[in-house]
Amino acid sequence: MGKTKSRLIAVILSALVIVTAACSASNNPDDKSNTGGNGSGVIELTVTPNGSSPGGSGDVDDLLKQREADVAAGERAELKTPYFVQQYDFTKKVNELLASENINLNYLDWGWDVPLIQKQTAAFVAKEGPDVFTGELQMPGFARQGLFEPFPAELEKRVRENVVQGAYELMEVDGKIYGVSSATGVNNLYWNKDLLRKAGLDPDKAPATWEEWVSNIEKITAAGNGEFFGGGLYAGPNGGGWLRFGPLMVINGGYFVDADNQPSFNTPENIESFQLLRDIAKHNPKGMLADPTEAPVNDGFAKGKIAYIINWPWQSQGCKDIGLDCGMSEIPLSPNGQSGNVTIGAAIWAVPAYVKNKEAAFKFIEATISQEAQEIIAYGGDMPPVLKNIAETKEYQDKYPNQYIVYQSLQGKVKGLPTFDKEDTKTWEVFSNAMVEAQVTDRPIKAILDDAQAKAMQLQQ
Amino acid sequence: MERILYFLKGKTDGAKAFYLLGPTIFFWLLVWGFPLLSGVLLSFFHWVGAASAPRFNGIGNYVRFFSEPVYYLALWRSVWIGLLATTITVVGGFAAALLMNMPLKGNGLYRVLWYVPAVASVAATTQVINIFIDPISGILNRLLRDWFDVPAVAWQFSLFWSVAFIVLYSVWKGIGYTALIWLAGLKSIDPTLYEAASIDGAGRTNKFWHITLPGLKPIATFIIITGIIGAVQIYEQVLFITNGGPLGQTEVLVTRILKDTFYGFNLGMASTSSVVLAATILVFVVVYFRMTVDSTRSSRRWKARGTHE
Repeated sequence: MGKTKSRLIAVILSALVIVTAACSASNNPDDKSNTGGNGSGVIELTVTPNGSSPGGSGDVDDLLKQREADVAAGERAELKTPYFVQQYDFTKKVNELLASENINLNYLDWGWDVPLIQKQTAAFVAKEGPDVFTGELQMPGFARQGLFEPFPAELEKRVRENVVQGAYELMEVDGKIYGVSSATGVNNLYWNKDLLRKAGLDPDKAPATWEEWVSNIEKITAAGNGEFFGGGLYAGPNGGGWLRFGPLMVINGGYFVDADNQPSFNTPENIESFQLLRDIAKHNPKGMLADPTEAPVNDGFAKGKIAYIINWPWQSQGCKDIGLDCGMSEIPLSPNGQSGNVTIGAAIWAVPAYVKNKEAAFKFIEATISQEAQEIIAYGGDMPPVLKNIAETKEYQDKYPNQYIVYQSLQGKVKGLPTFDKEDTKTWEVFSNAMVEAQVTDRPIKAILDDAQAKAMQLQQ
Repeated sequence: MERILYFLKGKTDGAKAFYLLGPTIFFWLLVWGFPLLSGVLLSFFHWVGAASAPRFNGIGNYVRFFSEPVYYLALWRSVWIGLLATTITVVGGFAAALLMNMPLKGNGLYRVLWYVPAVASVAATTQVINIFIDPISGILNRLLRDWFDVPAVAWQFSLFWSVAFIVLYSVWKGIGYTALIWLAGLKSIDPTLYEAASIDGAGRTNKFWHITLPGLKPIATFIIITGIIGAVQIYEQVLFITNGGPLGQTEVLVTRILKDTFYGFNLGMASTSSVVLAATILVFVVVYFRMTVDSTRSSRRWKARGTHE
């Protein structure tokens, strides 16, 4: 009996240690996840920020003050550049709009890409976490799984009427909108004018057709003699590669999936797009455009080693920042092609279904696409706004012609990357391998894509 | 402390052990034991998608693991690439430890230099490899072109070179730590044994084979066991150097688990892969013990004969 009592005491003591540790662990001042009041009637809202964050996690009031102090101290020169000023102004405006609704905004910086996806997945499984999520490639997949809350009817109506289609189209599932981007872009063609001059080409003339583009790439690589290359686009085995190569499929009337969302890799249109990729790759060092990461291609362009690149809208500002004389145009068309594109750099906002105070969460999304916040994005110059009434003014078009090209593309045949019904990751791996194989082997394109299609369909069984 | 001792006074050994270890065991069960058990249980469930519910699948996931090349080949690569890197690291580390054990001036600094890679960030240091093999301005291709007039090599698209860089990096990263442990083993050998051997006329080779190597047996066990555990879980260097390329030919099981968990939300298969990985490690460790370390049974036998402690 005595032994049993002693053991019982030990178990209780152990439990107390654990409970104490657990309580102290959750006593985190930054942990304001999932909407709730703080006792003063103010609603606490937690959002995972995107690039518009002034940096770090915590109460946005404090983060903004910290940013002001950093700027005043002059310690980080980059904080005075247009991009960082725009970040600050946008966050400040959204914070003000929410404060007027008695909502206190908190940022929970979960990073981007893999770390962000990991944490978001854990939050969905636990049904506990931030009130608003941001993300890019993973967001349509989350929406298809029913993990997000559809927009309320009034907000949906506002979005459809006022926001450019490309900013929400990829978050539409069964006629409902699950997310919207407050700033999004599409891919365009950029080129290094100096390298075109060195190759005897007109630096101000954009290649109008695929044929002309490949011919220019060939001439530039020949002129470079190992010092610089024609380049073309990054087409490596990851999201960066799919996003840059995708527009070439869309332009030629192809796409990753058919109308039933089934893989459609080996269509005649896609075979032609892959053939173009092979032709471009042939005039560059083997595997250069298919590197596992996009850094070598982006760095190569920035360092004047690569002439052509397909890239995001802020490449235009990037060229200015590093003093590179760049040309910009829409992506060249195939013989029977039409203008089309794939969105890139779309930081999409969405409300997880588990959130308790959804009304407050949607207020945040409303604030990001408000007139005031969108004007800050528009006149920051990096990305076009998503509000039609700003981008479609003559003032905007005259002041930011390059960004207006991006905006126009958002109105056309713009698609996002699809999420396959089954085995999404493995199906994308199959596509990635086909993309790489087309560039580094001589195997017939049709055979590569037939194999890829068969594997992809097997995964959908 | 006095109160604790007073409290424990008169208690049986079992009760004392229970009081002292109870909180730790309880904490372990809560933080590690429960997730571990959950992982094993989950490996028998089909669970795809954060929004769906787990569905019992029996040994279906295990059948799939050993019938789909994407899984069993990833395991095979983890084993052979990991063990290749570990073997070179263990042997190289031993050679480095012998050098470190020599009475040289500035020995401390020399040892620190060997150890620096062990504490350096993998994400940062793998970029050094990537700078060397960069397809546009990589140092290796520039050297080949400028010095030997050899055309550029597509390092990232050669299986041989991809594995070579992973192994090279793993050895560079792990050799300092391994050497330090070997060194601790070398230092722990009683110097009087060497003196006695010298008096008996033993040469360097004989001392090495009959004193150094037997004296290092416990340390060798530690190094090889931890090496095997780390080897089969090889992951970071693969992710940052080749990301599984070319065409998935260097994908290892942990990168597959990562993709299944966080990209494919296939938590059932990710758990199955984790259990298979753990079982593989266990098999290697048991085989190693059986082959090299005195088994408990033989120890008892020797003890009974009065020939072994």
